[in-house]
Amino acid sequence: MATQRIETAFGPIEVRPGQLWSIAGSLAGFPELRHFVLLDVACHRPLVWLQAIEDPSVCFALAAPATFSLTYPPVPTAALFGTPVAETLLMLMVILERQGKNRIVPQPHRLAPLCLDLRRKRLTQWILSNPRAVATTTAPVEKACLPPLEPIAVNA
Amino acid sequence: MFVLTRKLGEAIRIGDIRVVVTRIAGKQVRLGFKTPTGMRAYRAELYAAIEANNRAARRVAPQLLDYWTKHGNTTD
Repeated sequence: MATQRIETAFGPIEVRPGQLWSIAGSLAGFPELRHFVLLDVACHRPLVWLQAIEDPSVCFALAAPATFSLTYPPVPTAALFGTPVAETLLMLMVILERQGKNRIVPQPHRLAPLCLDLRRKRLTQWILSNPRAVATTTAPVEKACLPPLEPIAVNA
Repeated sequence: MFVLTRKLGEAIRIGDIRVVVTRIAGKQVRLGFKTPTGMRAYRAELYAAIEANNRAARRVAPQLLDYWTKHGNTTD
């Protein structure tokens, strides 16, 4: 299968067609971005990177909601993807930076997680209008593991 | 800007989108939206905040995440 050479925030890589993700709808602030790849940098696990194909300078850090002890109500997949997505849905948080007391700390983009349809390789951003819909669990959170995404391994 | 005047229960169409005035109470107007599948509507200020956060997120420094992944999800 033909591969495609793309530029990423971590240097050029070869990508197979089956490794490309397309977006359902558009990403707020980036309407021009249509395709992405997921990158795995070993020293950044359990984070993964979402690299935009159309703009190499756009690369989002993602993590599972459990990493931040967050839980969400059921995802309205039919509204988000145009078709119900059940067992193949995965949610990931976009990571932001926040000024903490002593240093910059990561912060999840709580109101706009990414939802990924693992089977169709499609993703979309779920924008929640009610902050109270997102709960913080007090239960112990196991160390989040790399989700079953088969990201492309790259070096930092 | 294109301006239309509507009464309670009346609607406008923007392409495939139908917008209905469902309630008027004082200075607030409640609108209902019927949109094609997959199309979503948001309050403008919420969408602007999401856009701003997305733009900020593209600049997260890998060095920050190096520190985080080594030290765990501590706060400050």
